Amino acid sequence: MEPRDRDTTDAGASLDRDAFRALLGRELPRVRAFLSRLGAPTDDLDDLTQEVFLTVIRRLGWFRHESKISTWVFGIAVNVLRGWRRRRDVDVRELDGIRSAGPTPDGDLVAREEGERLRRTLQRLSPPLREVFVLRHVEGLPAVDVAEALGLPEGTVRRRAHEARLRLRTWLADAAPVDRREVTREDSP
Amino acid sequence: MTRRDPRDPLEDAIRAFRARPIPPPRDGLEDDLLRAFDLAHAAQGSAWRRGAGALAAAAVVLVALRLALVPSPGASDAAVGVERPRAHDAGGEGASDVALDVARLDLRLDAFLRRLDAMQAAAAAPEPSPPSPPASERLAAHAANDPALYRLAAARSFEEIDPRSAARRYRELLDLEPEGTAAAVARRRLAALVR
Repeated sequence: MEPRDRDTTDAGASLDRDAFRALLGRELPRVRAFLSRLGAPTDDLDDLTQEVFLTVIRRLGWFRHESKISTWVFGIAVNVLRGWRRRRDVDVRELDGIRSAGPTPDGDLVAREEGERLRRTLQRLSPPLREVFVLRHVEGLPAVDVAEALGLPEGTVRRRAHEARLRLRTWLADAAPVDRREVTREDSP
Repeated sequence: MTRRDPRDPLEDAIRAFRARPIPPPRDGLEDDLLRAFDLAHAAQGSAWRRGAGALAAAAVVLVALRLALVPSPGASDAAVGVERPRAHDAGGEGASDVALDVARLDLRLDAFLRRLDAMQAAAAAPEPSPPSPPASERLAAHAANDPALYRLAAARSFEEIDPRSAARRYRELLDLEPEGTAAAVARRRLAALVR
């Protein structure tokens, strides 16, 4: 049985306080960013992050070091977000009130628009495709780690990642400004 | 033939998306989580020292985590019989604060474990015999074995509300089963109705 499937407790048995502090320093910002990229509303980011790490504390004793601890934590984050959606009986895709993470103070306007467009487009993906896409292509995890985090076969991860990319390309092209769309020779004068 | 933009729009979008700023966490989130770690660790050790089983130790850690971070005393705390300590009454920080919380948690741990033991004992006790089924179910059970008895009971139930209907049912019963105990009762009831 995988460590993350064991609903039991051996709090912190495999990690001392300093190691946990280091884990927090390294993973807490990543988890918050990851949850945000998956569509968690900004107002709930802290609560969700807290829930992720409480689960980490409860289950640390069952982490076997067979995978990277960051992969394991990402898997917990996905489950926490799924649970949050179920409890609220809502898919965050449907929420109108999701706020953008905010403007980039000195960022390039075009880049900011591109990032914002992908954020909106991601919300059209089903949660299973979105989870795989964000872990694989935004967080940059290898397919094998995504499979470990989500408890999926690696082939399924690759298939979903491919499907997500295809859909996003299409949707982004539809939503892109005219000058960024594909230009065909037939369209040229 | 298609001439593509030299840049990959999706990769550009991913880079831009990745670069979006995420609002900083609330002040003290990391400290709270460290404190939860300490409490959970201490609570688990305390539970083991008291001879608690794995289930009880797990429950104790959950309670400790809830005590550490749930923002207000909630129903779930009351449900396990643990009063939420006021974590910041200590006025200190870090380890001393945690020590005080653990001490308060310890005070309540015995009661909590006793309660858990009682729950486990109750769960292990033999179940009481089931209550009697309602009259309608008993009647249905009888009817399965004795249709005449069922017809008799049905006819009698009509006596108060519709005596003519009751009389008709007694006659039907007598037509179908002119002999036996049900028939004898039906005959007496019918005689009383038509008198």
